[in-house]
Amino acid sequence: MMRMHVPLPKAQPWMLPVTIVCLALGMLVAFMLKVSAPKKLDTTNMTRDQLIALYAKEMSDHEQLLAEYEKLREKYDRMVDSATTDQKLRAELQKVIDDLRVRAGSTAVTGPGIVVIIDDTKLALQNPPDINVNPLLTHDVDLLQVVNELRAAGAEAISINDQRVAGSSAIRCVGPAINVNNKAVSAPFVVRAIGKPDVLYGAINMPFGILDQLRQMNTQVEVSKREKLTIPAVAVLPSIEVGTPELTAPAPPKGGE
Amino acid sequence: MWLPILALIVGFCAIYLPNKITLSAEYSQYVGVAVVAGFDSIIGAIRSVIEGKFNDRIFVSGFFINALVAALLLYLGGALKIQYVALAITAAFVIRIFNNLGFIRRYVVARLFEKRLISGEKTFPEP
Repeated sequence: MMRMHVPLPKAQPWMLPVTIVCLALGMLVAFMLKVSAPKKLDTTNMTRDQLIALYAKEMSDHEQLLAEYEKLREKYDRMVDSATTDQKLRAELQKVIDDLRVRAGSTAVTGPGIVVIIDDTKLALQNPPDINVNPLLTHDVDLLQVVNELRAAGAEAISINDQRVAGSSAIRCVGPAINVNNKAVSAPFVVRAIGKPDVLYGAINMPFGILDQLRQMNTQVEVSKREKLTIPAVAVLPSIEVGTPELTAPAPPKGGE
Repeated sequence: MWLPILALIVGFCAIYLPNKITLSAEYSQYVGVAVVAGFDSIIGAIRSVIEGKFNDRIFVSGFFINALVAALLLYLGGALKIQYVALAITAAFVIRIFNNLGFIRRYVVARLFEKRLISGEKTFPEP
């Protein structure tokens, strides 16, 4: 035994039990530090008030994160601004970015255009028992054809029931409704398109065109030109995960190979 | 003297270092009161050694039974929906710890600085 600065009685018999107890105590202390992460939130036993409080908390967290996102995006914009000092180049780049944002659907767009309202056949709404109403309903394919026709006529932005139809948008049949951008929309379908109103109007009413076909099925169709329309942005743009933009110009092909 | 401290470190490392050993959160307070009970036993043992009244059986049984009963009381308090049982148990042990610590401190101070025995410590065996 080492001689201590503080002289203790040479009581050897206490050494072994104290050592054993210290071993146990060390293990206990270590156990305290090894407490695993708290259990996953168990909502099944929670009361209504607790759930409401939890929901409110999560919502406020969500708001905070949104505000943070907004702030960061502003900061990002400022940084892009300050990085591009050449005013003329900046203006050109901004124009390119704005055009691309309109194309991509990441910004709301305002301008003249047309509104097409398509509703199911009145007969289909009555749901007669002895008639197959399926051909009388408006389908995803009909909307796709309308969108296609509007794009061909130079529409710059299109929305269906306030869902922006962008390059990433899918228009799909989901039972009684139609999904646009994975949001269900249902009849009456209000298709807004920004472009030259006369051109769009003429194109969409083309003889034997899609609206003509729909009218022949007694679908209720209504087209009107508008001086000013506002089309919202895509709520959530999908992120680019596997593709890599090829920003540099492709190398010229080598001859003689 | 160094053997208990070494044992403390060895025991700590034996549980702390392996990654597989974890304790679920609901048992943490039981371990907590057991740790406090353990410290109380150790401090009590130091005092009794100083007093020359150390008895290994009393010490070992005190450590294990105090820790066990503390955990049991805590469980009982939880079952009876009594609040702050852990706090009460901890307070009881901490009071004891400070009592014994005060005694030890007085002894050490007397040994270190005053070189004389203060009253009530006449029973100490000479080192």
